[in-house]
Amino acid sequence: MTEKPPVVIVVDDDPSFRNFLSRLVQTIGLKAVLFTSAEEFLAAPQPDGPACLVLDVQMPGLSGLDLQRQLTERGRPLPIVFTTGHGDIPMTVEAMKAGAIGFLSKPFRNQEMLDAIKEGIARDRESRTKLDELVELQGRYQSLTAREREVFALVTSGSLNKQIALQLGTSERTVKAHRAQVVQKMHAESVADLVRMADKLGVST
Amino acid sequence: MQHDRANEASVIGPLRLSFENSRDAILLLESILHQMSDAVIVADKEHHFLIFNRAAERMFGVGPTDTRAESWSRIYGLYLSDEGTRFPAQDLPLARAIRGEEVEDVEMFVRHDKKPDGVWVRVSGRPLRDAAGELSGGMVVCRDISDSKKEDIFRSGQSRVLEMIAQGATLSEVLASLVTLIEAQSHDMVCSVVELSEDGKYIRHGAAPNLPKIYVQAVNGAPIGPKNGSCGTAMYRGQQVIVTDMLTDPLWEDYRELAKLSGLRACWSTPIFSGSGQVLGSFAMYYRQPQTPTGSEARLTEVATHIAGIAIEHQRAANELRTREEQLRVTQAELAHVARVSTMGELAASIAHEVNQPLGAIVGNADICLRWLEDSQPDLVQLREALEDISSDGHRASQVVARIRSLVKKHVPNKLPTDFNDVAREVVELINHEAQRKQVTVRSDLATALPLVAADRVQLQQVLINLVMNGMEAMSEVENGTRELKLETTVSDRGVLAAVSDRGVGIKGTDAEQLFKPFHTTKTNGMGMGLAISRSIIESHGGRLWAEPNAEGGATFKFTLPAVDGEVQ
Repeated sequence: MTEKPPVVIVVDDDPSFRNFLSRLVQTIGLKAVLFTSAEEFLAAPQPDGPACLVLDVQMPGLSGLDLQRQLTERGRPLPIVFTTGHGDIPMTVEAMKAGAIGFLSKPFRNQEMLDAIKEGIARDRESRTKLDELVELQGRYQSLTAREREVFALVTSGSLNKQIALQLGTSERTVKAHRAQVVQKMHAESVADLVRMADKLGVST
Repeated sequence: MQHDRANEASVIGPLRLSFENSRDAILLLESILHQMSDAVIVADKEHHFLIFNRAAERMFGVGPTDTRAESWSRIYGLYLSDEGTRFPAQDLPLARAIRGEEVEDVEMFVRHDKKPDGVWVRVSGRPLRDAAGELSGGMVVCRDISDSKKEDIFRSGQSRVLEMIAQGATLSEVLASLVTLIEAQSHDMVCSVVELSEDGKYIRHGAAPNLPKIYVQAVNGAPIGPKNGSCGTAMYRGQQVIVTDMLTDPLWEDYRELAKLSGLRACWSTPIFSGSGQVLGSFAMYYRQPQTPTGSEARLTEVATHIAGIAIEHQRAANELRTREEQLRVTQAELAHVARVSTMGELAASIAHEVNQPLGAIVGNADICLRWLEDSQPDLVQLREALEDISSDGHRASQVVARIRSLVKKHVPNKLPTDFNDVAREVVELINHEAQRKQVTVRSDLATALPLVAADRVQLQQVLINLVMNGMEAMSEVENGTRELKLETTVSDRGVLAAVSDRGVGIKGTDAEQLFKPFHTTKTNGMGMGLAISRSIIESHGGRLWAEPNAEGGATFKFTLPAVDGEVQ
């Protein structure tokens, strides 16, 4: 599976500043997508690769902090680097609490911004990967039969085959066959592997 | 004739004069006529003089002549009351009397070789009739009214000088007119008024239009003292000083040469006092010969010192008022400056944002350029674009700074024809970020083609910023509802009407006028001077500033500014 190229999403009402940020991220080989307002960004299609938002805190209409809140509510929190012409401490605290990567006062050093962007993209890539893995895992789990899911749950909670047979009212042999199916369908290499998967899927009993 | 005789007899009768001896009667009448101080002239209808008494000869310089009325004005020096126009022959009282008119109280000015200063005369005339009632001639009686006439002229001269004071003429103009007026009342006399310096030590020139320049210059700045000429001594003593001969009087010892050089001999000086008895200056009469007062000058001196006192006191009061006004103006300007700076303090966050916005891009772009320049073959097109951006952002930042500087720096008010809409637009730009911060929408509705107003831009910006900031403040306390601030300009009948409306807490319960009182504040950290200063600024522009509650809640602050003359029909 090839990853889509990462993008830097710039939302700032100042055209000159947008141009600068676009130029800056190009220097590290990244592409910038520019928006003049939070509303404009929200109306656009969401990025399908790893992304980092660079947001001006003070904008006419929806402010940067408002946008951050809305994204969190939508369940797709993107890493955000805030910029401000004049930041105050309460504003910074609010932004950082809500998971901002950085809060840079203009003027800032380019390296600081690039570092923050890189970190943002890395974080997004990571959370994206995790998400992809989970989706994959969920797909595998969906392929299990009801009886196999029961066996999966009991195995991962540490029950021995004999105990499982007793509990399910079947033979130990049948349990073994189910267990082999589970391991194969879940692409697990060991019981430990299965336990981790159960943990991620939230199916451990 | 019979009838007339009877009348005359009834007057003369009691004297028991015998008209049987007509010669005696004629002699008696002649003697009476010549004793009279009024001029009596009788002429027949052919303009031949029948009677011309001695008083008439003295008054008109020449005795009876055998000429027609057409020549009388020329021969006897008869003028209208303007003292310059020859009296028209047909209007002469005697000519009118001869024509049969009764003439009452005609004023005439008479001037000839023997009366070079002229005489004011009041004339009455009667026609003469013979026994048959036919016109036979006319008579006039002329009374010398020079004294009362001169008095009238002198009095009206005084009124003129007092009027000059009231109308704000300069002190030197007033004093020069006063001196000229006094001098006109007497021959051979030259006058001067000097002032005493405010520290009470020196003579300061006031007015002396007819004294030698050299003398005036020497006296100006001379000290006063117990032996300092007439004026210096009079002011020192606070008493009149009469010097009948400047060449011998010990008071003039130090100034003798000056007196000789100026050709002055006598100088009588009288101090001028204020209403509270303080010496303000001195009035002096000068003569070119040794001279002792005759008593007739006392009244002139009294008038001169009285009026000069009023003039000097008036001038000093006016000076003081001007100084106070200037101080007040400076204080107001300083207060306005403080208010502007404190408003700027409130706007600091927005200002920082506005400046840092372009600075952020400049610094960032410059860093990128530096990085690119490290390449062996930098992309010059890209480099150029970035540098162009840096340049334009630099200009942007400097404009912001200039805008703020002009508001914060000490400022001498200077009114120039101004389009008030420009002021409004600049203010909207300045407070834009503050409005965003406070989540206020600013709507401006500016009239097209406003007449120009004579305005100090910085001061008007200050007023508008103040009103806009107040409006935003008022709305910050409103939980829900529209936070909208409207800025309107319209053409009013005499100029421009500007209005700032908010949807804030409004002014209900408060007397709207109370808002404009100094130190009235509803803010926790306000000085309460904003509106008071704003009103004084608008009033100094000839306008008015007031507050009104809005129908839909909130308040509207309105002010007017008169158009530059001729801008609005």
